[in-house]
Amino acid sequence: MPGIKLLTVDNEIVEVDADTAKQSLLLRSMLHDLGVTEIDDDEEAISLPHVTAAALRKAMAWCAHHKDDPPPPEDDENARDLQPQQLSSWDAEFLRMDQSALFELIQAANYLDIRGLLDTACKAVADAIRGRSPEEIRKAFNIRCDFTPQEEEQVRRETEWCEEK
Amino acid sequence: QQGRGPLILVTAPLVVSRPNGRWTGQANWPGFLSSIGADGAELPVELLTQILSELDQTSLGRCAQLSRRWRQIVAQPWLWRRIRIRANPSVNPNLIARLTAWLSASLLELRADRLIALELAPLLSKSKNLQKFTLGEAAERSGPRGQGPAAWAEPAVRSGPLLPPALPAQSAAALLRLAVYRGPAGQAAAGRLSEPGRAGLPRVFELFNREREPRVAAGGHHRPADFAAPGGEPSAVRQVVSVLPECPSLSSVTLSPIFLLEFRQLLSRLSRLAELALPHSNINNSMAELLIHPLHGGGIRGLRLDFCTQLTADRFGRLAAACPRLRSLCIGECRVLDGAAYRCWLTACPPVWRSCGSSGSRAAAWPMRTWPRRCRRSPAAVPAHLPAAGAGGLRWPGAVRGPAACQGLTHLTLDVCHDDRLPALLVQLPRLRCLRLLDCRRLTGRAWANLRTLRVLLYPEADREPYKSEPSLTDEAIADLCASPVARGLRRLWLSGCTQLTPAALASIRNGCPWLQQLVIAGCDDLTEAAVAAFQSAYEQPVLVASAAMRKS
Repeated sequence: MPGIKLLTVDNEIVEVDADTAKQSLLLRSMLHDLGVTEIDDDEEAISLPHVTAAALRKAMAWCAHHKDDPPPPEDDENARDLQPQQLSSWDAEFLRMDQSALFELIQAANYLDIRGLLDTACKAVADAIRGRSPEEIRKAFNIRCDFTPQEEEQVRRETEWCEEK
Repeated sequence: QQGRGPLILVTAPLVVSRPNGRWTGQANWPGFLSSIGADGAELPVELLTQILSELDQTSLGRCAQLSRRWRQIVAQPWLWRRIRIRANPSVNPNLIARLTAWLSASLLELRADRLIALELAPLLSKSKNLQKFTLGEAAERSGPRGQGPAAWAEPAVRSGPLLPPALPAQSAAALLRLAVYRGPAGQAAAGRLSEPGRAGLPRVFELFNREREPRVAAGGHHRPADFAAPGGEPSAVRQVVSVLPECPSLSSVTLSPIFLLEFRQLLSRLSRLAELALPHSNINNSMAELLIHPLHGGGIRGLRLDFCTQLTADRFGRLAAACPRLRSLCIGECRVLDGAAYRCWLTACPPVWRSCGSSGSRAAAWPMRTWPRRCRRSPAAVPAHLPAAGAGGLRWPGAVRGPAACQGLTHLTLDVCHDDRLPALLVQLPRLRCLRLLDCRRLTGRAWANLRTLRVLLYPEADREPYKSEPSLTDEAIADLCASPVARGLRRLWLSGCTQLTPAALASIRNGCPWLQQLVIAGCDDLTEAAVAAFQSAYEQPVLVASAAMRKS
């Protein structure tokens, strides 16, 4: 299968393997709709206006690694003793990147409609949130607290019941 | 702006659909574009929402404190479909009123601990979509199959849970699962459920015998037959069971104890029954006979019979054969399960089985005399709980063919394992992910060949109780395991109770298991802290090493 050319938002042309790219439902339907069977050199690139080159390369690397994955197993009650569902170590390693790159990747996965990658990356972010105090989360995700002290105290009191003690 | 004209420009709005199909939202494109720029740290609402949907209520509560934007996003009611409220100073009528206004339309599961039910009444009465409600100190399913009966027994009821004076009819209509605890309150509740004219009945009913189970934990071994002893006449059970058949869509029942008359009623009227859990119950041969009827057992997909000691082997075999759709079976600690029972079972084993536990996870709670004698005494004459464990030749020609039909089996528990049979069995279980071995000291590297898919190997200490006097795994056995292909795929490894292990074993594990995420070595006293620290530092990824308190890990 030949490669296809994708033009990213930062004006870079990335050539990706068509089979791998088809894990993206967006690209799959585009290729299908366009009837693209092979790409020759003069073919123009497909423009992806919301994806950066770095995120696209990363997403395609994920697809290449997961292309032989079986479809996700159906939920099984007995799988519960493996809970909480952890990321595979390959995924965890793969997603170890700075937070803005991870967010870009999530948006790319969402735009390209790569379900597995989107789920995995969202899990990774959720893992980073879990178990941390609000102050730690703010720091990790660079969130500016725009509450007034009074509001902050009120929210804290409102959410007190959520804590599992 | 772009060097080459684009072939097409995709501008269609994206629809982000939730995995469970409950929520869809359209991407906010201007927001999307702005979020990628400048400070780069912002995700659009729908993606943030998806991340939040992975989180528990504690984390959600903390996220609400981050900023105004986060607070707004976190407040989406559907993120809070399953909540748990515990009695503490922050719980007051205002909170309940706020939760009622905010969440009552979307709430699916509510768990309230140590709360006075009266306080909950406003919330309950508005929660029209509630599917599961648990009131009480102890978790209503604190003992899932993986954890075994011990976990069922542990949380003692500290304060008598109080049921709502009247479970509001409109929420009961949608209620799927209700845990009622024994004791006066439970009996009263059961009585109320059977009141004539009540609109709507729970579709799933679980009744737990909470008064008695703590004795299992406290006194060690506790004979299930005692559950039916006089003095503890479970009239609540009878009352509840007598109304259950009026719930036509009931599909899952957990009952203990159960009596013949009620059992017959239950089976004959509940045509959709798919999951039947009778842990610690007094189910006997005549009750099993009822299940064997094709009209009754035919639809059963999950059957839990641990600690059911009154079954005999032949009845058990017929039972297994009479449930062709069975996918999951838990038969730990059933006294009957000798070789003959397994023979019946294996030859009848349907191909759709996913999981089977041949021995419960709490062997320690059972006296040794119930284990087949030869199995403890003479390694040469291991009678093979499973054919895989057999030492001698093929005792039962049909036995190995049995599991061969279970291509989908993913979880397996084996008692005594022997080198010459385990590979033959495992090679026929291509999808096995989790193997729990109660006694694997006779295994060498040969056993692990062709088992690349395995992710979890459990060898927990508590399960070894009957074998405690015998030697546990040695460094050489670990080295063999780690040199085999199976080691490369392992994510979790439990070696608790393997007292002979030395730091050399850790070195083998480090070399052989690159993807390990969790190692449990409780009770391995020769493994020093320094050795463990060195072991952990050799991994780029953090490896969770539990060296003590492994029951909680």
